[in-house]
Amino acid sequence: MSGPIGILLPREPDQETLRRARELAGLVLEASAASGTIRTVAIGLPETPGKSWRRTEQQLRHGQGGVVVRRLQWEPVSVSHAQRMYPNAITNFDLDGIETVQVPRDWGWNFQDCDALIMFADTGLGAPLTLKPTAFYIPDLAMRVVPRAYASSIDDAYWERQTDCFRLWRQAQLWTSDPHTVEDLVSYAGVRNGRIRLAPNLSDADIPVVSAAPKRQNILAWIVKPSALHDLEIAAHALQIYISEGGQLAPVLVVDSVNEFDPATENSVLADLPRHYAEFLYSLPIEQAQSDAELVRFLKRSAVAWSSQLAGGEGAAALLAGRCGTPFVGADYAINRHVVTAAKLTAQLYGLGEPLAIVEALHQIEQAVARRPRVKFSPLSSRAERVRQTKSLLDSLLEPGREQ
Amino acid sequence: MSNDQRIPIGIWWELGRGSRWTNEGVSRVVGFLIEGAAEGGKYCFHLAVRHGLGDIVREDLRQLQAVEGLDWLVWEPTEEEEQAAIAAAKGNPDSPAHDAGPAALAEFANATVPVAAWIVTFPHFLGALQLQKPFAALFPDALPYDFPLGWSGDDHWGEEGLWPSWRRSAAQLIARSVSVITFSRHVADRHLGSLFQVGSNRIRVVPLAPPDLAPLVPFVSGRRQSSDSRAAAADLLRSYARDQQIAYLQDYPFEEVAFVAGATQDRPTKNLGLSAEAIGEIVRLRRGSMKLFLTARLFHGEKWTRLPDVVAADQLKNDVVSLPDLPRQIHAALFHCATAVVHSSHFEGISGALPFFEALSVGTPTLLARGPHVDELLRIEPVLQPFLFDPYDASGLALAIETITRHRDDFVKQQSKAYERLRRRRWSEVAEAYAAAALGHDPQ
Repeated sequence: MSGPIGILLPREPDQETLRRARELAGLVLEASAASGTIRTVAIGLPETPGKSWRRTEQQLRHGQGGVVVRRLQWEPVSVSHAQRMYPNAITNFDLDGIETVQVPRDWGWNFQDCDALIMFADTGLGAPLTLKPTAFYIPDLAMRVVPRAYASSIDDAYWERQTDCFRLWRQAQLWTSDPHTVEDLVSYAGVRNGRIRLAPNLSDADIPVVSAAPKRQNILAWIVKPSALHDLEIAAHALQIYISEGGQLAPVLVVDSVNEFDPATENSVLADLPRHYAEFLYSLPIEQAQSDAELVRFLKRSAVAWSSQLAGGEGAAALLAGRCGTPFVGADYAINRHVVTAAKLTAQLYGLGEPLAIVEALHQIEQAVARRPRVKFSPLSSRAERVRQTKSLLDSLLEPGREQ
Repeated sequence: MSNDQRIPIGIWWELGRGSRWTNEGVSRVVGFLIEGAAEGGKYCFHLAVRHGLGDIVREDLRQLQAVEGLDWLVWEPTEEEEQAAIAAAKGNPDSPAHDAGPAALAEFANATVPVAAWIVTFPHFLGALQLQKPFAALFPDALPYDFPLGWSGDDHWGEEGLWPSWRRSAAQLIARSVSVITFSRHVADRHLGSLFQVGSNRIRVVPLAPPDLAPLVPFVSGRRQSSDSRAAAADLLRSYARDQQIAYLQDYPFEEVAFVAGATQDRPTKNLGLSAEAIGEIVRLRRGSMKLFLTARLFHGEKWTRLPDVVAADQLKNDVVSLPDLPRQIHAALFHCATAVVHSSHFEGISGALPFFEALSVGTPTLLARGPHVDELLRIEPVLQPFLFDPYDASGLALAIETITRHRDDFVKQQSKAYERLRRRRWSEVAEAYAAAALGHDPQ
């Protein structure tokens, strides 16, 4: 039996990331089986305050034999110490100019028993020293477009950690599903083209089956995070206008955790909003979806799904809405356009930065929904193609000289 | 054979007063070697220990199936002898600057302990460099270089930190030794070859013989648990608990309870947190009844191992119970009384795990976590494959514990066949191989 393939999650994985991880684990298992190799997948899952690690573990493992989840903690280690800890393996890395590396810890082999690692991008972590053949999975480089979602100012310590992170990316393989992210990886992260490979869109994943389909209600499911990436001020302003103009869709904030929009919780993004908009957001009903199953149930009884995300995301919200048979509203940028077109979604995309564009989109989708359209969905690629693509990626990672 | 006719082989143990002897892995191996000497009748092992440690060591060794004065002797300088030797050693430029005790012990040993050669029990025992007779270095493992994150900071990984210093010391000792003994092929390959570049011609892979705890519990017949033998073992446990004033256990009905035992110290690689999590899952999620008795001490509040956090966060106080420093007989009674033994360790320096052999010797089956030590055992006994679990899978372990509880007798029968085959290797053979390594004889 070969060693496991490790999948390392970022420090605070949200539902979208967990969905990607489940999908990737399944693809790796199928790809390995197609190669005639018996493998397991070891998912490294950090402990997140306020969330049940065991519950998330069970969600990641559900229905997937061959997946084991390990607790993951990133340990900062000085480079001088790391050179003594790993005297042989570390010589493969150029760490010149880097003071501290981040080493994954699982209270056991620390993923050194894995044949290879696939790490989900976490640019604020710093330099991840994985010591095994590693591919970094990069859904997007949204920080290039919306830096305030990642750093409070030009002086934020984030920027030094990002540079350290990019230094290690430049020495590994990078996988992304978004062709536009490829340009960002070369131009912004400084990674050579030859190290970048296109991967299946992991957000285009099967959804949990809902046995008793709930009845659709006139709900506008706003899938949102308390982040500058979700353009809260513009979105809140637009929503207020829509409602004052008689819009009938009833907005509900759909979040990973109710604490995210609790006034008692410290959140600098919400604290920086004009008070009027913050209070408006706090006044809205909240639906906490702690799993994909809960999220899918809610979207299936919603009239419309809305994501106010400004950049990146692999079109995850649009894809999920499509699979739930729910029309989608979102910002008009490259990956969203691509996904809406390729998946044949019922959707309205609006121009960036203008509240009235959002208002128009909401009115239009409301009218469309009233006509009870048949909502179509077409997966971006077949399962067989996704497995084939994953197999090719794994082959290139495990045996760099042999690519198909 | 009288003591005079036995070949005297020294065993070098240079840790000082206050250091741990009881139930340490290597000290248990020393015990088994001595029993091997008794079995073979060819060697007498002379243990050299520092002043203050002699009584503890003698008390432990007197529990063995071996005769003091014939199969073993403990040599310990008096305080005056040690102080005089320290004073002399301080004038020796080859003595370690920070602790003249080991060099002093060497001076005492050279003058007093009549051996033909030595076995140095740890590769960083630099006092052995002062020994006048040849020595073999025992190399249990270089575990911190496989699991470095269990130790942090300059204290451990700085230029003069514990592990780089250990590596330098070990390199020094290994260079002077006539041979290097490992317990397993995987340590020879992973550590000796890779980290220390020791040539295969100087490495002696000497697998341990399976330990046998049966003589310690003579009420156990045919290596099988019966209601009477379980009750007798439970009586021993209750008696021990009363002596130690462990209130929760002094009248505890061990023989009426399903429990698993884990026998290892709580160290980063031993993975006891997983064992505790599995118990938590059985009791809290599956609503079963199961306990875990550990011979590890519970270090409440510590973070270098997961066990304390798991016990505290889930308040598993009375279902995960610590019973540290057990005397050998009580250890055997615990194992015999248990439903099963669980060994979750990620790594061992031997082939297999000592608790696996010990458990079967008294009729108790074992569940083993996968790792290179188990892979090596599987190459000899592939029939043990069904009894393994993923060391990261608490749910899988919980399920395995429930299964073994329902089918304990079947598991014992299956595992016992492997144990009987493995038992053909005797401790007298191991003692012979160690002595030969120390004497510089070619391996057979």
